[in-house]
Amino acid sequence: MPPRLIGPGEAEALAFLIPAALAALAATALPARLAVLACAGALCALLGALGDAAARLAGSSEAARLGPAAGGWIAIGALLLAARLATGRAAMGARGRAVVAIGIAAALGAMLALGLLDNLGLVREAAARGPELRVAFAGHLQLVAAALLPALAVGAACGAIAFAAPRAGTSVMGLLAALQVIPAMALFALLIEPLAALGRAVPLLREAGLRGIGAAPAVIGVFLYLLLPIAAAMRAALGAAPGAAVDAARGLGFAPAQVLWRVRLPLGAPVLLGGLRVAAVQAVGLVTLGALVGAGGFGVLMFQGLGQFAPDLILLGALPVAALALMLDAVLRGLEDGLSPTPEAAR
Amino acid sequence: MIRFEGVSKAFGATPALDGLDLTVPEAAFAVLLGGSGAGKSTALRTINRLVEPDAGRVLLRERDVASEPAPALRRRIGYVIQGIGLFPHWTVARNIGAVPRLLGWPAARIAARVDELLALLRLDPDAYRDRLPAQLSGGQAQRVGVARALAADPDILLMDEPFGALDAVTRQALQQEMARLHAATGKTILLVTHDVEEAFALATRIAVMADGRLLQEGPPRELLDAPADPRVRDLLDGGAIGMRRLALSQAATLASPGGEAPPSLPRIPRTATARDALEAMLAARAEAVLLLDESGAPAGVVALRDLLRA
Repeated sequence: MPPRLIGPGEAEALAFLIPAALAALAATALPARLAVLACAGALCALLGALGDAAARLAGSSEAARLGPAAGGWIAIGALLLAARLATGRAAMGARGRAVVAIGIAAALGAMLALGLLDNLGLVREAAARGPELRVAFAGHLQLVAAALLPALAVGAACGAIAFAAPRAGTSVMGLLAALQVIPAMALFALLIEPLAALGRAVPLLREAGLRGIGAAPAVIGVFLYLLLPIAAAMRAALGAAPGAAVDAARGLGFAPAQVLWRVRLPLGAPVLLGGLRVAAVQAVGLVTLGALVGAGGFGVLMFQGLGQFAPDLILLGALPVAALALMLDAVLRGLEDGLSPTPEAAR
Repeated sequence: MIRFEGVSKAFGATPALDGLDLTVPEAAFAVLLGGSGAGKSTALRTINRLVEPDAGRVLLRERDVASEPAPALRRRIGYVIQGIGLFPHWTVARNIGAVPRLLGWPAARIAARVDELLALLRLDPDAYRDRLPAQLSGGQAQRVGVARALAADPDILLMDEPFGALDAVTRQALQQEMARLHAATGKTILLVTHDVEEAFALATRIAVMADGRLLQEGPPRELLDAPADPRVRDLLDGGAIGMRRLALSQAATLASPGGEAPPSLPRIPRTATARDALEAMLAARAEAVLLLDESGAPAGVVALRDLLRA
């Protein structure tokens, strides 16, 4: 059954939207730290009200699936955005933003634990599919790691070659860039047949899990996509040290390896980490498509949901992917800030 | 002692050094002077092998610099550059201790050496050792750069336009500092500059280069009095040959016994140069100056016409 939209005239809808919109607007006028609190409070109130409305509407029906319509999602999105802008205005830094994010997540967790949101379709769906979700989560992380870690090694090597030998580097980087042009679905599909043939030819590989369908094409495809951001970041990182510092290091008697490890890499680390961050976030997203070639992960839930036109199921696959990507981004960005050579005091 | 023997180097089709022959005596403060493209930086960088010559050889204390691995050679040679090149991720202390660490000195010895050098460069060790380069002014950063170059007590100090990026006041202060350091340590220093004033302020010997070759080498006074090449004269002139000559002469060498000098004469220390004496005369509209020794007692009179003997 398609979800029913709550009309603009219905009291429930306005009851959610108006306070949320007011809170988001008011956040721009309040002092920054207060605004963060106001947005977080409004977000919790909005979710609580949604849960409460769902409980009343659901009644005793076990099969009913109630969820926020577009307006509710927009309100949630607007409040998150307002909170993020307010943390920026308050100049809270990475640690402050992490505290806010953890606080909001903790409040959400508390509401879930208290059962306040139990009647929302998404929560019901999650409860019904607990084991499936855990499998998807583990599968997703494994796929990301299986693609990202080798890409890190190979991409960094390509970037180092591109830095050390600019002429050869141009063709290496060109090749990696050309890979990006192939659409992900096409690349996965293109990999199926050769991998299947390889599996047939070498049974040992097939026993090790290398088949045309499954994790192999997805992991290899994502691996290929990640090479460019990592190689480009490595090349830029190696060139990030000021020329005078490198000249001085050589002139003072640093051996080439010492110039690399003590000067170029420490000074390029934030750039390299930036590339790793891009690649990690990209991997989390790309792996989702791997479900189409049988790789597993949250994509399985999403595509099931798409096939059955079940929005809650789609969200059950999509929201964790988004959360995972945002978390990786935040953690790696925090690392990057921590690695910057200039301390706060000197800025 | 540093000796260049027929050193040539071309970058692509452009020759930078064209058979350079030059000897820098031990304990000299030698300045390589020339316009841009004269090859002076390239010459400097052949000594620590940041540039490998196409032909000829460079001897450091009678030993070919190519006879040992470049890193080991460079650790015995101090190197200061215009861009300073402090490592931005290291504290001042770690920057200064860079070469001693490479040489495997014990930590306590490095720490003591760092404090000694900061004091030598007139930076308070307690205030500066834990700072990062971004927290230093340009002049302070280059003091740290000089300290870093001196850290492992190198045989010689190479300086490539070290004060070119500093403002005039800071530059003059650091020039005086270098003159003092040279007098105190007796190290052989080879400094590259295009600044004639800087060359005359610092050098015990000046080597003038053009087009990758040596035009003339000698004490500053000799170059002024007997330029071997019209290009040397043009470079040194700048409309100030007479003043430069005065600046190189001690006023005391031109003085006659004062006797009863009129009290209206301007007074300058006995250590002043003839140029200082002229300046004092012009400022006071007087025809002579009275030299005073350290105790303030009269030590001779320099008259305007005495300056002609400078």
